[in-house]
Amino acid sequence: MTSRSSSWVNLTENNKRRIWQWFVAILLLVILNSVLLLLMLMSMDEDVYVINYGTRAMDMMRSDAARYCSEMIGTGAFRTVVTTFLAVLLAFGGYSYINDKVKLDFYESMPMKRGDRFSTIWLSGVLIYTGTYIVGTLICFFIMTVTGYGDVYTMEEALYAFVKLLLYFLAVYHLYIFAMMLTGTAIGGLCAYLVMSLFELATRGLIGLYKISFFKYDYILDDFYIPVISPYGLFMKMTRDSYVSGGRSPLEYALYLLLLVFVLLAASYIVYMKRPVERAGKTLVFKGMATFLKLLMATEVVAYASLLTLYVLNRTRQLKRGDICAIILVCFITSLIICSIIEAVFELDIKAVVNKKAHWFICAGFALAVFFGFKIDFFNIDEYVPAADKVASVVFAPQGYEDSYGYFVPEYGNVRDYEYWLNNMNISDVDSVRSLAALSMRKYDEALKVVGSEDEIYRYGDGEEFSSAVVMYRMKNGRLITRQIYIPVKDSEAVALLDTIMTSDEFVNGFFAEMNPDIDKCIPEKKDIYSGGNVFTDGIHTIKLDVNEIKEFISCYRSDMETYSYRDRLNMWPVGYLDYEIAYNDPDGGRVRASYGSTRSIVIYPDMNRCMSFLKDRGYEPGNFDLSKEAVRISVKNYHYDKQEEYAKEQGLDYLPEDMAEDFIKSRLYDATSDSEKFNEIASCIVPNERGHWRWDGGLSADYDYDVYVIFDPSSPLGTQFRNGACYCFLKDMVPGVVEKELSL
Amino acid sequence: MIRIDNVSKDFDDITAVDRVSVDINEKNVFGLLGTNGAGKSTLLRMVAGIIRPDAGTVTVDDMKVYDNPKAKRNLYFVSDTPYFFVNGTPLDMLSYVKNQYPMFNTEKYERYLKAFNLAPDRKINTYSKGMKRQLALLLGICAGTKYLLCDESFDGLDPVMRQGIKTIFAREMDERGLTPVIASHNLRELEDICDHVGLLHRGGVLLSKDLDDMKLNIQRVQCVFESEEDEKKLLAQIDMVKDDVTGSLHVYTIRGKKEETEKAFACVNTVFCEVLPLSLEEIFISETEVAGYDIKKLIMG
Repeated sequence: MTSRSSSWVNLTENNKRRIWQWFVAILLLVILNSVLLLLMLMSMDEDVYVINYGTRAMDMMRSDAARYCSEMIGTGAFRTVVTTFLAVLLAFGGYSYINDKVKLDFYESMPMKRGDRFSTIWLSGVLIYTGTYIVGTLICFFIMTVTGYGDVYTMEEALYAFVKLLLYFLAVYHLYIFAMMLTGTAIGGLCAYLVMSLFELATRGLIGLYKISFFKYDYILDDFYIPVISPYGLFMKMTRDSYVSGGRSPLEYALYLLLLVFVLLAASYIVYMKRPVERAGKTLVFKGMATFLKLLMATEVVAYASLLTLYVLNRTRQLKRGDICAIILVCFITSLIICSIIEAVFELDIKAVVNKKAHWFICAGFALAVFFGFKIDFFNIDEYVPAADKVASVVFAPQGYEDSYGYFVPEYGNVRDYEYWLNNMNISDVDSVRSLAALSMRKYDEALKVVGSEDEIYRYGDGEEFSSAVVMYRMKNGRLITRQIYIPVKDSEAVALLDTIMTSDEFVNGFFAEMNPDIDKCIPEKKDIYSGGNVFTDGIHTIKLDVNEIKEFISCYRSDMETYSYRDRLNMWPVGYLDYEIAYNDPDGGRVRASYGSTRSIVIYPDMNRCMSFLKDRGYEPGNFDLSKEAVRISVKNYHYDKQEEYAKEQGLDYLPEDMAEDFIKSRLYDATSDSEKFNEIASCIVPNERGHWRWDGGLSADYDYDVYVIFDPSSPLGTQFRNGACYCFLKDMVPGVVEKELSL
Repeated sequence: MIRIDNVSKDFDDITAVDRVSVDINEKNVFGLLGTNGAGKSTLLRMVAGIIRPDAGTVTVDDMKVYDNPKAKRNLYFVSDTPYFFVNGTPLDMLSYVKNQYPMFNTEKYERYLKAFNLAPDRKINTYSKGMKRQLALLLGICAGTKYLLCDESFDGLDPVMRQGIKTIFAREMDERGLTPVIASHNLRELEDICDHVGLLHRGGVLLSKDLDDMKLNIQRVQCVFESEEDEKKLLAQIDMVKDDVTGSLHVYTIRGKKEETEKAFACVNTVFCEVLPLSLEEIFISETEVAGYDIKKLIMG
């Protein structure tokens, strides 16, 4: 045991040797940090803010100042980058003596326990970081107070940031120390650190690429690519909000990071104590590790090479014999090169490139096993449907259904689709989702067998349509299995299952963002962000709504959605859309600010009785609009796309060039006076076409072949509004006979 | 006492030290001789507790030395390439070493620095190689340890300085019982300072003896016999190591005490007989030749 006083003396002595590290830390965390903050705050010109934001100028200035302060004293990029750099620098500066035989002779001969030396150096590094961090933060506080931008929230944020960054610092610090302990040279230590930092990321990237290349259904969430056993990944997860983390709190990730900190420290200490001093100068200190590391790294590189070859050959799921030979050859050559390079680095001898030739074959063999393992889906991962008793609940998300304009959560602002689903949808009818997934995969595989590739899937069958949906199985063991299935939306069995799943309260409340009553809080009372955005429109007719009306309309929508029927909607065409504005505070802070905003939209169908009643009260009734009173002409074009495609195929073309396509386009102008009968028939069959044709559910949709353009009487209200005219469309199977006849080829 | 008991150390496929057993007694100057690569530095590093032996034990005053500060406080290791802090001065080194060795004698250190013309506040990286070695040795001497391990520490020292250091060694031995252990590849360097010499070769110990014993037990005599009978008679009485003959002049290297040798020669008729002084080098040549080694190749290049 070392006495307290001698520990202090050792610490003091160690710090004397690390003056340059103190200098760098002070330069970055005290001087640069403070100067940058000061410059940022001084660069804010009140006049410019007044010009840009008017009455909100002071709010915006305060908001921007708070953001600058958060950046400079919080977990922003500056401090994160500086922390990473200092962790590496201090680990290297403290322990680099272990690679120098001369220094080793000196220090190791001194009467000090090796463990004490380790802890002295460790503590000294931590002191340099924390000391300069705290001083830098205090100076920043002073600057903020003097400039009038300091607030309690920012100081609280700084305190949390300190804890988070200290954890992050320790994790990176320990990782670098561990890397140094395993290696005997400075370059070796740096390489080991890079390998340890990037290996998991690279492996996840590799698995992701394999899945994308070979799997049809496996759905990779962005989170998959974030390393788990890594200071960087855990720090990233710890500093983002709990909503994004699927409900996991930052504290949970902080605890994971803390665990990693301790594990790395323990590993570093053990390796330090076991480390043979005489191995200083060798690339790897423990000889046994060399083969393991070499095979691991080389196999990964060779596996990447095999994928690269696949992309060069432009093949994905179908491989010919020649492709396989090329891949095997590339794997072997890459293995040879990589193994030779690694061996030369390990031995620090270029002549070592020819050593251990068996590794060339082993690495190539491993990589090929991985390649073909994914290719044939050896473990049946892609089409895996978990057993019902292992699933706790399910997320079912039809991608693009009712085009919801993304998701919004008052506390966090706009969030990613899958984050919203994971936070809000817990479908308990696991069996229906499993059945739908199994059915969809079976049907999709059958279709693929017929058409050959996914690009051609639209050619399959007569009227068959596949629409994608994300299925996330929340397993009882805590895992999350995600798949993207392609549902035959016109298959009666699929429709029945979809109706069961999608009419459940769990789906309705979890999928339709407006079902969350909290969203009302974000409808701004004052129109100080966007103006004129609160309307109901069918694309032609528009009703302006005030904030209270919007809230009332949304309430009607929620009420109507309680009786929502997937099956009934299939035969309906939307009446129109409710567009409304939202505004929200900075999701990162508790400050009052209203600088973010966006417009949202919900689709209104004729079966939404309360909504229709609301519209009727405001004079909007779809059946009351008589187009013949305001329109003077209707232009109709039939593109005959099916025939164009057929002809293009005969000619060996992907599609017809414009001049050839013109031969297939038939058009006609119908005048309200001279063609009044036809005109009126057409006018009664067309619907406004502002929001596109495509429907996820394969329900009633526009006829793609026809373009309809209505020209209004300039003196009519619509003529005044639209000047020339507006786009309309025919619904499928509702094209008037006269049009079909007159515009046929 | 430093006890090295059956100690071995391998570096990858090379055996640096192979089952070495040596006792280093207190208040002696122990010379560790051997060619480059003989294992001297490795052995000394094991004694200093820098590296751990693969087999065997190294104890200092009955305490295992590896990672044992209590044992290490009894010894100071002066490396063949001494380390000094970057931009450090002798005072910086004093500050560090003094904290590690509570018995460090600051006053003596300052006095020696002055005596050797080493400016205490001058940066060590401006010192010559010899000055750095002097400083390293002075730090070791002033550390107040019982044992001072010097690995090729006299290389680069001019004869005056070498003599100065040797004088200090003698004084320290006399005053506080310092036991210097000096590793060198050069026999001549140790000749006038060592009490006991261990000869290492290819990781093993060829011999380990007191110099006095060696000197007392080996004699050189040159003589001319009156007859061949006298020669035969003498050879029957002595333990001859070597006989160089030039004409009728024999130069004998004989194992045995001086009195015994003189007595043997008194019994035979010689035309001329004279006992010659033997240098350490010559003693070593004789001893190692007996062991079947050519010492000139081993330590005298």
